[in-house]
Amino acid sequence: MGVHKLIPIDEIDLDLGNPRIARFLEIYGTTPSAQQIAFALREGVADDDSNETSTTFRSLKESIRTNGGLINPIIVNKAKNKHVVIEGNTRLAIYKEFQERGVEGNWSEIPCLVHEDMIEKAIDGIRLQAHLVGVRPWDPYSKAKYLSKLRNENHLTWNEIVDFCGGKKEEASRYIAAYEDMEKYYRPLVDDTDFDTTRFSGFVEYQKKNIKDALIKHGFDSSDFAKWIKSNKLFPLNTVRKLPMILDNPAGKEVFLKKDAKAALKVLDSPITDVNFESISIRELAKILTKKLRVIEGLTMREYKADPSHPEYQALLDLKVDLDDTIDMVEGN
Amino acid sequence: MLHDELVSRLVEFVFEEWKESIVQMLVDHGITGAKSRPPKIGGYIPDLYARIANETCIIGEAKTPKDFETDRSQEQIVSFLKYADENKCMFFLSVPFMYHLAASGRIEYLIKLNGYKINVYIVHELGCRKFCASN
Repeated sequence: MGVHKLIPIDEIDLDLGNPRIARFLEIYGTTPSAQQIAFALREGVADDDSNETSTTFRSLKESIRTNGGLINPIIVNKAKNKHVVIEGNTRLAIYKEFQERGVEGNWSEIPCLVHEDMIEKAIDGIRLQAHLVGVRPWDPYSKAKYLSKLRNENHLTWNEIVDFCGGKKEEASRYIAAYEDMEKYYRPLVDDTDFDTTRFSGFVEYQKKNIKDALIKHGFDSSDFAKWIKSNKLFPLNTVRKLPMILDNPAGKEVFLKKDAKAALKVLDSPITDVNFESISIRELAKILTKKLRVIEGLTMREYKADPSHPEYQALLDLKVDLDDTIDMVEGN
Repeated sequence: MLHDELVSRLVEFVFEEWKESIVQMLVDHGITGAKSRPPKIGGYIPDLYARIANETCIIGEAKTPKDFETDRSQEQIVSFLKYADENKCMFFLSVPFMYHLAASGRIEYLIKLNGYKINVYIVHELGCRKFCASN
C-alpha cells in the first residue's frame, strides 16, 4: 500500500524507462529539455487516429489548470532516497511546464501516491495497466518495445503478459515479432535521427502469414521489405496488405519494383466498361452495396477469412478505409 | 483542432523566417473572405501562400498524419510541388513532430520520382527540417 504525499516537483525524476521518453532519448541524447520531454509524452501518434493523443494531452493540461491541480495523484516509487515516477510522467511534465511559465496556481508540489522499493514486476504491472490498456495508451511502437522488454529481458511468460495487459497472446506476439523485425532490418538502413516509428504498423501487417509467404514465393525477404518501407514503396502503410496481390500479378510486380505500391494497384484495377458507374450517385451506389452486403453468404465470408488477399475482400477493406476517413472528416475527428 | 494548430505554427514559422522580405502573405483559415485566401494551385487551395521580395513564393500546407496519407492529400501535395518546381517557390509542410520523418521521407520520394528541384521545409513543434532537392 502506498502513502499519499505532496512532493516538490524538483525532487521527482521522470521515468526514463517510459518507452516514449526512452525513444526520444535515443534521438536527442540523455539531457532533453523540459519542453522536449513534454513533446515526447504528448506525441503518441497512434496510427489509426493521430489526433487522439494530442487532444487528450490538451484536455489533460486544461483540466489540471482549471482545477488548480490533480484529482488523481501520480504514482511514484521511492528507492535509495529518490522518487521516480511510475505512472504520471505527463502530469509531472505539465506541472513543471506551468511552474516554468509562471501559470497562476501552486505547481511547486504535486500529489503523489508513494510506494517504497517496489519490485520490477509490480512497476511493470502499473505501467501496463496505465498505458497498454489504459486511458492514455502508448503509440504502437512504444507498446511493442515494452512488450519485447517484458518478454525477452524480464522473462515474463505469455500468460503473465496477457494477465497484465489483457488481449490475446497472438496479438502481443505479433507486436513483439514486428518490433524485432523493425529493429533488425529497418534500423540498420537509417540513422538514429531518421528512425521513423510511425512505420511500425507496416511491420505488424508484415507478420501476417499470407504476406510473408508471398514475399518468399517471389524470392524476397525481410530485408527487402524493410527497404521498401524505407524507400516509400509502401505508402500509405495499408498497401502492405496488398503485397500478395501485387507480387502475384507480373505487370503489377514490375510497376511496384520500378515505382511503388500505389502505382502497381492502378495496374491491377481493371476498368469497368460495360456500365457507367461514374454517372450513378453515391446514394444509389451505397444502396446497392448495402443490399449486396446484407445477403453475403457464410461460405463467401469463410472464403474471405481463409484468403485475406481475396480481391473482393481487399476491395471491401479499401472501401472501409475511405468510408471511415470520409465520415471522420465530416464529423470533424 | 490539431489542423488549426499546425496552420498557426506554419504561419508563425514563415513569418519569423521571412518577415524582412514578405510582400504578401495569404492564409486560408476559414475566417477571411475569398479575396484574401491563397490562390488555387492545381485545383487546390494551400493553407498559406506568400510572395517574397526576390519574386519567388512560398507555398505552405498543414497536414495531420491521417490526412497526409489520403490519396487526395497526396495528389494535392504533388500539385503544390509541381507548381513550386515550375515557379521556383519554396514548399513548407507543417506536421506534428512525431510524424515529421514520415512526411519528410514521403516528400523526398515524391520529389525524386518527379525530378523536381525545390527547397522544402518540414515544420514541427521543435523546429524545422530543411532539405534541398536537386535532380
